[in-house]
Amino acid sequence: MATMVLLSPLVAQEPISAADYTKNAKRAAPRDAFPVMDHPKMTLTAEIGDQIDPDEPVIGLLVQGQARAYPISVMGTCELVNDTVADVPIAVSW
Amino acid sequence: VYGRTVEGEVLTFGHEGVLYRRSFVMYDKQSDSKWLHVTGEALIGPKAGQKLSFMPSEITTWADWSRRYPLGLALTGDKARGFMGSFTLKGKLKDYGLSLGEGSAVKLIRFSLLEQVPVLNTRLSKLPLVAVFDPTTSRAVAWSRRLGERTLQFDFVQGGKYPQMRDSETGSLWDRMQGTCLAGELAGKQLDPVLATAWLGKRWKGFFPKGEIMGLPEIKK
Repeated sequence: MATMVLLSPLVAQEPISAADYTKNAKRAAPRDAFPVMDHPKMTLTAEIGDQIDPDEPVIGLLVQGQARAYPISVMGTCELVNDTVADVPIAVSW
Repeated sequence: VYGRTVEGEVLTFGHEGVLYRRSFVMYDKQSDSKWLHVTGEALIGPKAGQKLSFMPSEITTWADWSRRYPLGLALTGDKARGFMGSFTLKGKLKDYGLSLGEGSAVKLIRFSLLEQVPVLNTRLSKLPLVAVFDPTTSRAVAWSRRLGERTLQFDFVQGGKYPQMRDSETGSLWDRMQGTCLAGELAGKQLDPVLATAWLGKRWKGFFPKGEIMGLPEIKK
């Protein structure tokens, strides 16, 4: 049986605030350099079958009984999808 | 995953291209406010202080999800290739943990610990809960251990058609990923889910520096 330990961070960080953001946020790329999906192409899960690797991680969610899966390999560097499921506008990011 | 409706207005998000605490920042095209995608909170701009509504989601494998929801829809398209190259999480789930709670009571249970201890009895403030793990899918979820007047304690059960656990009070057998009692005195009972999401461990530390992390001891090389 593994031993359990509690790891506590050594360095205290400023609380998240507008001031801390202004001080520490760094521009990594121009705005919109990373593509965002606004009209994601969706396919019936049963039809995709093994075209996606069975071990591939996916983000899965249920909205009012409707299932949606967002494979990480397709999300990729996009990282952000503006979608609507069961008339509920949602943002998927990871 | 968040709802995009804030005070009746539907927002559309884009990438700001800014990194804050190891995480990308989003902006909304309606008000140009800056949002943290990991907390769903607006920090800068007209929407500052607003929060997007959190929607429960899970990270699992395609095999597990497509077996459970064959009639759902899935995002398809070319494997994304930006200037960061293609990206996959495959084999990297050990860097993740199950994040529980909000505000001052937050806890991250590392997947690497859950791999060793797939049924983990713990607490979040006063709430007794059990975090469970399915090694075949690398999926983790959490259940409240309160059932009516009782507080249950669970033990790992090896084998079986479904990932299972047993409560030590009545010896009943449970499907640990569904929280449903399969056999015994409590057969048919359902545990209440505890809101939990998978987070990248190092990113979580940046946002919850005072949060408790349960993991295996780190081995110094």
